[in-house]
Amino acid sequence: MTSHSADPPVHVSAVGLAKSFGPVRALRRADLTVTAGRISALVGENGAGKSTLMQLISGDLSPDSGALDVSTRVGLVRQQLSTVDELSLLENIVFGAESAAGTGSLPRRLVGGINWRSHREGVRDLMARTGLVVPLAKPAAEVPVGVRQRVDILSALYRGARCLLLDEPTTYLTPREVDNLFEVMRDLAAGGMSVVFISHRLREVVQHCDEVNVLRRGESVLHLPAAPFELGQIGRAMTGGEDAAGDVADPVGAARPAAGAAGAPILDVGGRLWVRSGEIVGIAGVSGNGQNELLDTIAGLERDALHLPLTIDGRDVSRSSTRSRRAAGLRFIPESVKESGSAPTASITDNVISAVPPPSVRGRFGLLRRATADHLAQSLVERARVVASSTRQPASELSGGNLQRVAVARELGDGARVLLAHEPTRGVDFAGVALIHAQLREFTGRGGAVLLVTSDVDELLALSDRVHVIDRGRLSRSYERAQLTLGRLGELLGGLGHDAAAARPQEGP
Amino acid sequence: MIDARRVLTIVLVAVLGLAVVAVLLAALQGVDQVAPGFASFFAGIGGTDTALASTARTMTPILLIAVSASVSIRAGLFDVGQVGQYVIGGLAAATAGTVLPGPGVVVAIGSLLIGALAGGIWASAIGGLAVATRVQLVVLTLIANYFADGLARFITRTTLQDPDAHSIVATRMIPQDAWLPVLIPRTSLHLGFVIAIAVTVVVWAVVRYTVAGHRLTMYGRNPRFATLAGVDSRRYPLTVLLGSGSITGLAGAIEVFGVYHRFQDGTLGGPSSVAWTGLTAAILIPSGLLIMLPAAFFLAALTTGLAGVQRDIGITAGMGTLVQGVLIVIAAVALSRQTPRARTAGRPAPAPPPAREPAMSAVKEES
Repeated sequence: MTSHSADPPVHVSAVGLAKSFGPVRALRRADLTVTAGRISALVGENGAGKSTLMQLISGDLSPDSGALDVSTRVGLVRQQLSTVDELSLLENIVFGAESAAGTGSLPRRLVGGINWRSHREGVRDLMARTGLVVPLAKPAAEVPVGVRQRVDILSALYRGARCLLLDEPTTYLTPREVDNLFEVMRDLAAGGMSVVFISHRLREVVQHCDEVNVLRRGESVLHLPAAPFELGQIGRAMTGGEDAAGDVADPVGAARPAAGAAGAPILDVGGRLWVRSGEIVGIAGVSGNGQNELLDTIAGLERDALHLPLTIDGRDVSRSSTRSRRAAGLRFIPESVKESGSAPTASITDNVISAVPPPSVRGRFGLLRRATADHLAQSLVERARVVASSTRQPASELSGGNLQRVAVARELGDGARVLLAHEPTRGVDFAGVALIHAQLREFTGRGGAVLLVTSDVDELLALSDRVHVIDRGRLSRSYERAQLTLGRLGELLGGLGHDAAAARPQEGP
Repeated sequence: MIDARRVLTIVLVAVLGLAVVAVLLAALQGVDQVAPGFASFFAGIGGTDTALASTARTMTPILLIAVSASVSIRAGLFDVGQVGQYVIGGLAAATAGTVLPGPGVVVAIGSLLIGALAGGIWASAIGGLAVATRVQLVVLTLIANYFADGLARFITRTTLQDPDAHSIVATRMIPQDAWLPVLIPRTSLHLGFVIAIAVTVVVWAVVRYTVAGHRLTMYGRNPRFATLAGVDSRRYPLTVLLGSGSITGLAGAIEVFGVYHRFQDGTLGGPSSVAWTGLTAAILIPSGLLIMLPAAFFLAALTTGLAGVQRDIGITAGMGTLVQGVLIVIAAVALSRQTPRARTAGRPAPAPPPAREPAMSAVKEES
């Protein structure tokens, strides 16, 4: 058994984990082995179950079924950093572990005081050992996000974690910070720790990790125990491979009106991003890479951000208010209809006519034509097949899918020329998705233009005529749908194939 | 628009109020004083033409300010700067009343408009300051109340002081032909009462039937949705404050032209300002408009009724304050259980009012 004792210890062993949240099966069959001294990558698309798996390992959640064996202290560093702005970095690191290392004098321990000197020495020692150095006295609000992330890592280490789970740690980091982070991770691993690195960015994974695990729709679909890794293979595993692409995209491709796509663009953002009549242009990317800023800028909510001419039907609207842009035919379905695209306490009718009612319901002397508004809402509810007992019902009583359909139908009403659709089918059931896709196609069929921003690659490929990829505020060139497969898109999303992208930077947020 | 349950609640609170009055009378003055106490209470509210007129006169600014605060609450703006708007409106109107030339009617109309505008501009400016400094509106408007009071006192003393008024800080009197006419001879009820009711009805109709009113309501329900629909989220709140502030400004102008006939320090503003009472009504019944008619009458009646008891039976002044405080707490509890509308679009419902402060105000005013 001498050879066995030389093997590095296994920190985490998970086999066949499953976890559901109500009807949503976040994890179906996930396997993961984490070994001391190694950096393991866990990759997958949005909603593949990566975060759920991490929460199971860290003990925040417990699995419905499967075997999970965690033999060491685990530290989870979340994508949303947990630092408190007002506290100093030292306080942030020690936060919650104040008494654990409290080796103060007896009177201090009796009154529950914190021995800051001992903590400061402990943290300094930790910084010296790991090379993770932060200015301890500064408040968290004053340091960049990369430093705050180090604080979260230090905090986990200070609590004695031997296995670090890093959830999308590179999302907000500059390339240099990413390199630094991996140097530190490598040192920690050399010291006998284990690291699980969660990412969408395949290039980073390939460069820095010792093994790769791929999750797709809650299932472990690929495990590569050692380099070299083939990028295409990982990308295909993430997205489901090319065979699936054929199934989803082909019938749609046939129905697309090809003739309408000619002519001048309806929406044109400085010649870098444009959408023509009859066209759906998709923007692919992991959320949080500048999609919100891009759409807010086009919609006129962030008017000072854009330094490029923005035209709708050839008219420059880059200095115009949201209201005049809407008058020019711009429509917007925000990412969260519940939060920004509806008024839950207002009736369906009021949600249909919104705060700036269409001309048809405006009477003389500034009066609101309620009866006309009710008719308008009624016909919209029927057209969009919304399940509602009455248009007087508050919007909060509608299901998410029905509310989404109301928003789509409202935005595609009279005068719509170009629609900005941000995650238009998020949280919508299968039948609802088909209906919303039909609404969008019907709109382009009668000459409208759609800019579709979605993290759902299936939807993107099913609907788009052309696709841009957005990453860290940069927009790639557009790819014709015909040139794209799920595998290729997976590679693009993984941060590869940016050869053409770098040459055409989009004004970032 | 008037929700039957809300009316019922007000009636219920009124009945409870009478019970509280009865118990206090019995405890403080003896059981034998309960019946005469009640007689005095009702006599104080409406026993004579003079008493009823006094109640209606007291109700006038409460009603206007309640409507004003209700408009901003409806838009989701928690503006508690009514005292400042009331003072500034009153001072502006009083100043205009003493300097504007022409016949009394013209002076009165012009001054009321100037007072309203001044209140609106004041509210809007404080709102703009809140946006610029990123301080919460509720905080800044609260502080601005004290600032407005001090500013009005300073301006009055330094430039507008009536040389014949020795012991008070006050502007010159407005010419008598510009005073708001008294509606019932030998009472204090003036035309302002009718104006207040008319304004209430007009605001209600605008909110209910016009595009502008619809926008106001929709903005309050979800400002982000309204912004996406094309409402300018930077300018619109200031426009709303201009409108709501001008209603309170008008209340100040009416009070000056109908009751005091000059701006006098301490009559409109300060901790005992009647503006707190109006704000209380709006916080208790968020977004209510027509319902402010009975609500304002109720609050005014409580004031004049208790003043009657105080006059006839000689109870301590604290009792009136106590009764009002208790009632407003009861009303707050009763009404907060049935007004989900206050919680528009996830924003927290307006906090319970500084209940005792406004309650004290109305009574002190009469005493």
